[in-house]
Amino acid sequence: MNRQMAQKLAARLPQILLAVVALVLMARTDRFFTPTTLGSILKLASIVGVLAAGQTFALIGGGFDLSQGAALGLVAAATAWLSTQGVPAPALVVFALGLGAFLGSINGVFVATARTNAFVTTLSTLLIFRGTTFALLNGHPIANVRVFRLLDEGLTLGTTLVAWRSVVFLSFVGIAWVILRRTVFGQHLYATGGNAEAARLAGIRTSYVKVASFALSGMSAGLAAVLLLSWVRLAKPDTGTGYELDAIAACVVGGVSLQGGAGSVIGAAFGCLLLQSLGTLITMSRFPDEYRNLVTGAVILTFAATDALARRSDRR
Amino acid sequence: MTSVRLLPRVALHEISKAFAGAPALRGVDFDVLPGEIHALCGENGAGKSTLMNVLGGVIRPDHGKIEIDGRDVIFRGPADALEQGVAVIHQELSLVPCLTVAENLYLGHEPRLGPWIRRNVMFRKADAILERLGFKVSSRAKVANLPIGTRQLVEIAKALSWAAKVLVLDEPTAALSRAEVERLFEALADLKKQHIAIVYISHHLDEVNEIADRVTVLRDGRRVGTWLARDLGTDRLIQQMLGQEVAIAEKSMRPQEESSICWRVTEARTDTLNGVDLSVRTGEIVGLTGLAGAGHEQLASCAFGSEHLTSGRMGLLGEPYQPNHPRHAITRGVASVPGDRRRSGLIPTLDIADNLTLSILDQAQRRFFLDRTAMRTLAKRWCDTFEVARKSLTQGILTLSGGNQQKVLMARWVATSPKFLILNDPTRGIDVKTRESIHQRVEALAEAGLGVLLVTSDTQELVRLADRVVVLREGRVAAELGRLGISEETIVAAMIGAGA
Ligand SMILES: Nc1ncnc2c1ncn2[C@@H]1O[C@H](COP(=O)(O)OP(=O)(O)OP(=O)(O)O)[C@@H](O)[C@H]1O
Ligand SMILES: [Mg+2]
Repeated sequence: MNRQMAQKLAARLPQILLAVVALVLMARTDRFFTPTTLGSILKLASIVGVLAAGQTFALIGGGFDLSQGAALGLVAAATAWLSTQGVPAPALVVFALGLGAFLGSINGVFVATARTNAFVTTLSTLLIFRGTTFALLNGHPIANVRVFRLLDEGLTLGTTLVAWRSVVFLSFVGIAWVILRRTVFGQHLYATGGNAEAARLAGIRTSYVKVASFALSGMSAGLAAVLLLSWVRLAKPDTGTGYELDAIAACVVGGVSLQGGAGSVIGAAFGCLLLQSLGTLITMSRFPDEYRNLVTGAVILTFAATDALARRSDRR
Repeated sequence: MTSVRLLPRVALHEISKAFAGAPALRGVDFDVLPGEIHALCGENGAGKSTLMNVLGGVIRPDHGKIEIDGRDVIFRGPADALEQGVAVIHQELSLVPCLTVAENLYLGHEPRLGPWIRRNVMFRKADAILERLGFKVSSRAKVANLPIGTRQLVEIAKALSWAAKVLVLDEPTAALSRAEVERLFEALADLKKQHIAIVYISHHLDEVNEIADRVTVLRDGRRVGTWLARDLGTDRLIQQMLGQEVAIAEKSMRPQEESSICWRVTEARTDTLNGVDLSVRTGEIVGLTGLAGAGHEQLASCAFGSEHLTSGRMGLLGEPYQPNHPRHAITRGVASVPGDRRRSGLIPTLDIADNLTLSILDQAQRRFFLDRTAMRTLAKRWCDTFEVARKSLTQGILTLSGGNQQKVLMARWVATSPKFLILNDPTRGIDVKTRESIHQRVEALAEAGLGVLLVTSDTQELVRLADRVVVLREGRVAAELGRLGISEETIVAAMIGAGA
């Protein structure tokens, strides 16, 4: 067992080194390991973090969700509009989650029953959701959405302020973990992603499982829309553009397999935090922000490559 | 020229290989002469496939060297091995289904003119190879449309398209019916005459006795010895493989009095089935067989709800039964152990415990939550009952040897406490000892009152287990053999329709 562990660790060496280098860099940066900085990283990571947790469901089930960002935009627009009609916040939260889940399940139904490819399906719905958002807003942003302003605050732990958004993010990850690891549905999801035909023959209703996984991914977009509105208080036609890519990147860095059937939501959350830390690090070290993409891309590729190599050495 | 013929075509010296610290091969020597069929035998997990993966350049050994025609070689990958004339046909077939036979044959070494493939040359050369082998397959046929036995022949043709001097067949007959096996053997006899060195791996020891010149036995990654096949009978071979004898029990005599009907189907029709009537009584083992495409596999799928009858009726324990999803079948007490482990049985990304408990998760559910401790307890209990040889319950399912993977699947389904059990090729690729233990377990289940439908192309298995054998041909019942009428000859005759 110990030898096995050692070999597994050795295979992950580049990843571990990278994490260590990042930590050292952070330690050398002034005022990085302060509650304020860390708190702000957690807060900044929360929106993409929620999306990444939702994306984890889609990925583990053998799917892929490119429409998250667009769903976020559509939910944000619809919710913002309802808020101008005086609908109270709790009802809006329920509405946002429900609409997100509904949008996600559209993806799920196509993938599970019509068997369209997940990539193509969610690419199409990305365009459809984005177009609908534009139509709904008539091209004009809705500004000054203040219903969720309570969420923009936080709770004080000792001397530091933990943003409610961070609390929501961590709780959502916790719930996702429980669903994946401690429910029959979670187990069925892993099996479906690992080998859908075998799962079906083991008596698992793989179509329901797939639809549910996409619905959860969509629901996370709904939740992310609420968090975003609480922060920017603005719904634009292009709100959330590209967020799905950040979420997928976080999953990859966190070791969630794009092949389906493997990975954990905790990993995805860590991936998101690592990417956000690096971003903050770059900003703080006064590098131009343009370097952010470069570094992020390199990090993702490193993680994906080590993962693939580790898998290959497993086989040899 | 005689001295040349004595030089082994290929020789492996002192090969060792460990996976994650666990040795799979420990200093194994192995060689094959030109024009020889050298059988490699051993229990599941003995290291046969690993040794052949070394020979084929798929894995690098930790120690040891490979010689081809007396020269040392190092293989960096399968392409190197093929270049040196070593072609390995792996346990899992490796053809690309959507391509034609010719395209598969020349995959990776297409006849070309600059960047263009010379398709006509390719088809012509492919036809020539197929003709030389005497295979009646069109080089323009799509592989996806060929029955599995023919695909096996295409694999051999593919190996020879590389001008292979050494041909390794890893369990080529596991999924073949007796008639297809005969065809394969004729092809191998021809290759022998062309001085090709052949390595043959099989768990069917009578086949080994039939065609092998020499036999090498592996046990726990060590070479036990090498013998001339004619000096070594099946019994001694088994003893060398296991270090002990296995008693193949007599078919148990289950009481033959009329018991109630467990499952029945009347007038079953689909695109291949043409009105089949069949019933299984409680406590009875009914064998169902036929050539590829005869419909026996499809009937089994329909009985489990993973495919659907276009017309016809089914009944289960006296009540109408119309499953439209395997889930329905399971809730009605029907279980089906799939034949193709890799494709339709195992979840490769999950561990042993997860794979085993997949269909009995409700037993480990506490309200909304899954009790992982209970899951592990269940998995441990069933692994112990089925004697699954393992390092831990959390090891990946694919790191188990084939036989143990099969036991996990059997355990998954027996654990659902079914009333009607469908077994599809339950001992495909399984060693003699495990095979016997699985057979005894099936008999015990039948004695406990289960109806068992045994769907297999393995005639020996039918003779050993079945109370009754139903042979399908072209979607119809071609013969129904009662207990006294069951023999390999009668089954094969009914399958191919000779003298029926
Ligand atoms: N990729 C791998 N990772 C870890 N262990 C492996 C791997 N491949 C094989 N093994 C282990 O090596 C041993 C030998 O396996 P191998 O597949 O060579 O057996 P075999 O003789 O071909 O068995 P079978 O008759 O079941 O095909 C087994 O214990 C198996 O679990
Ligand atoms: Mg093998």
